[in-house]
Amino acid sequence: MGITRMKKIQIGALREDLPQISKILQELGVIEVTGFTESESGQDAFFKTTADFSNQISEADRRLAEIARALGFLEQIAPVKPNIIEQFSGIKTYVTPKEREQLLAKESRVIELLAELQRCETEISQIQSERAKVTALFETFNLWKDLDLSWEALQGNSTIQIILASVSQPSTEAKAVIESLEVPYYLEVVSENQNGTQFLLSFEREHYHEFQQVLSKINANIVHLPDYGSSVQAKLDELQKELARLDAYEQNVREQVRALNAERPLLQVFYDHNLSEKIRLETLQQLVYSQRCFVMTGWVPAEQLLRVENTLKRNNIRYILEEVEPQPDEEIPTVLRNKKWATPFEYLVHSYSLPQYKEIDPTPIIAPFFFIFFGIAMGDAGYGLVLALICAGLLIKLKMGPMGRRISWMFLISGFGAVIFGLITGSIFSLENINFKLFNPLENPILLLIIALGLGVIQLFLGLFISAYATVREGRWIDALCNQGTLIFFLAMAILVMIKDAVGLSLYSNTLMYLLLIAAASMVLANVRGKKGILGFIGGILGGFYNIYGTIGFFSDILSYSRLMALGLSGGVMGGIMNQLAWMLVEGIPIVGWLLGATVFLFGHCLNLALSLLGAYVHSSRLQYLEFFGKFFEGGGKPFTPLENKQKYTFVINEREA
Amino acid sequence: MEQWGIYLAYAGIAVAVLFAGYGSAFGVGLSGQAAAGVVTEDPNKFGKSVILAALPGTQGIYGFVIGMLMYMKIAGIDQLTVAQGLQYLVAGLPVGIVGWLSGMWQGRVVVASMGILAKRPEESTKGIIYAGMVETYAILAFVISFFLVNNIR
Repeated sequence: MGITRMKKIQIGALREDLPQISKILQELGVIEVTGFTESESGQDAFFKTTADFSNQISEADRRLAEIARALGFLEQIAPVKPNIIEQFSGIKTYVTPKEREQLLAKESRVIELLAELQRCETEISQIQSERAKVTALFETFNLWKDLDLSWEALQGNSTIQIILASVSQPSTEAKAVIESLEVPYYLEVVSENQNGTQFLLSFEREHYHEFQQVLSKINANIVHLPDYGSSVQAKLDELQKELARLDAYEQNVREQVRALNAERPLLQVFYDHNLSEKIRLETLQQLVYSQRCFVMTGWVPAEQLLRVENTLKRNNIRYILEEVEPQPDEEIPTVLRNKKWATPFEYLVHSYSLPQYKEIDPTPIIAPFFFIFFGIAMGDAGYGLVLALICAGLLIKLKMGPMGRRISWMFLISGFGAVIFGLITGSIFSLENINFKLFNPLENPILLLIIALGLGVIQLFLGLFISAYATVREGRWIDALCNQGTLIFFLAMAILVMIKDAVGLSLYSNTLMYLLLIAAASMVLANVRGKKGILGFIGGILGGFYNIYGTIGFFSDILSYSRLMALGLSGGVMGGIMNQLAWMLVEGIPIVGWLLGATVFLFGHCLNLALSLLGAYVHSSRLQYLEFFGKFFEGGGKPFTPLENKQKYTFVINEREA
Repeated sequence: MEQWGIYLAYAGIAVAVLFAGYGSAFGVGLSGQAAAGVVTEDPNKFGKSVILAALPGTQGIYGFVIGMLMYMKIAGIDQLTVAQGLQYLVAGLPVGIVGWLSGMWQGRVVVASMGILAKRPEESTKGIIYAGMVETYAILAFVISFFLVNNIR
């Protein structure tokens, strides 16, 4: 229960068995390999012979990069659209262990596939650059498509020169400027639009320089068209055909890639295989080696130790395994282990901070509180049921990782908390006329407030008791009595004094007041304990009073639990408003009103459900983290990171789930 | 003069819905911009960024709920005294003003928490808790407004 006991072990074996042993351990995934500390590796029996894995690691890196590139290319050509759930959970490919084995056997196919994809990628980029060239050429010729001279004729003869020019001015302006030269010429406008004019100009060769000067005055650009044969139009048609051919070619290559997309799982399995391989090799660098042997050290959950030994024995490996004492300052990794009902709530602890190895695992304590708080904050049986059904659907339909399963289970269970509380208050989709309720929070909000604050008192006192228990467990029971004991006494008395009239203790009010004073005095005196000298004494007294002042924090923590009431009420009122709107439509508009009303009802309640869920989750967990954990929980534990198979793209499931 | 009671009650509803709604609109607007930035870098974070960005939306709902409760109370009543009207107005103030300011500040906390989501997504729950802490005060104001409205006779 709580935090799993860890054992530190050393395994020694022959170097030739190293690959096999490390693969077996990786498959088991129960040992966190650590490095040797200075004092441990200083032992004479082992001297560090370096084992160099850097070549193998960079080889794995190279293959990872290659496959990642191929996968990226596949994704670009044939993207996989995530569905609504995958947007949250990410896309994974699911394979059974058997399928994985089969895929891993096809190594030669992977190399082929990578080469094939590489070829396609190169071809597509070639096609694209080719097309860019052809398109540019097409643009150039397109301006001159009405030119009816052949390229041959365009070169002129010994006396006549023909040039093509383009200017940004309208043709009339260009004509006027050329006219001013008073030299015989022939000008034909080939095309004209708001961007400028393209024209043909022919003149006697001897006047070339004069024309050049005039043309440069109007910033004309003399165009030299590449050889286009008989007519520009024919060339354009030809280029068009070329473009169509390139398009078809590219489509063809893309089609090939899409056909290869079916083999994407193969690449993904190999990627993950290489990733695991890289992790294994990197881990091996932490071991200590001699000429023929190696020793590895690390943490194993105590209950898994036998499994490790049995697996090694079954594979006929010669090895030595012994438990070693951890160094006193060594951080021991934390693994939470709880009864089945509480396991889903480990997610709450994980997302705050893991307890340290020596601490108490708060999971089984916060699980029932989260359940109740969530129920009150959501507060509607209909919503709770819908949420539970959605989570159940996700659990059945989706193959999730352990964390995803825990979250879904947590909300499934907590959904039933809302069902229970909704039935108590007679709230099912906030509908009216439900008669079996115990009380109506809208008519009697004070009762709901009292329930919320009462739960707060219970949980916070529990927190103090746990903190006292933790101190006792460390063997400092006097500390526990003086610090937490007097504090609990004082707080209990203070609360009794406050509520004495409500719970019928007003007769004993004097006794309670004396008890409260005694409690306060004991708190002050307890704080003096262990202080030396007169100054220490005075300091202790003052500190004691300060501690009493500090209990105000405890009461503001209690008030914080009023949020449960607020969330429950606002959700309920919101739902009621949705019902009213829907009903107004149904009553106001005949026939169609039913349809509109149903739409408003559905949409409104979906929105309210989403908001209630958000609020209930955020605030129920916040009460655990800030108010409850603040009383006893330190956190900051080191998560257990065993040597195991890493999966980025794939997810191995058992045959049944497939 | 006899209409003033009703006017004041309407003003109470307006204060509750208007200010709290403004705070939420501002907060959600601010955090939505930051969320869009996070998703530009990594579209897979859409789910988590939505949870964060929706947090400042609750103040508007608290204001709306209080406004709606007041409306249901005065619907069908023709006459309110000025004293009664003032009670409505005052009852709307806590949720209106605290909702307004806490919505804006929660939006800012969410923007900062988007940084956690972008750089250390595994710790993003802590950002949600920080933002939730701002909400406490809107909730306290809501509770008081709720009781005030309930108590008006």
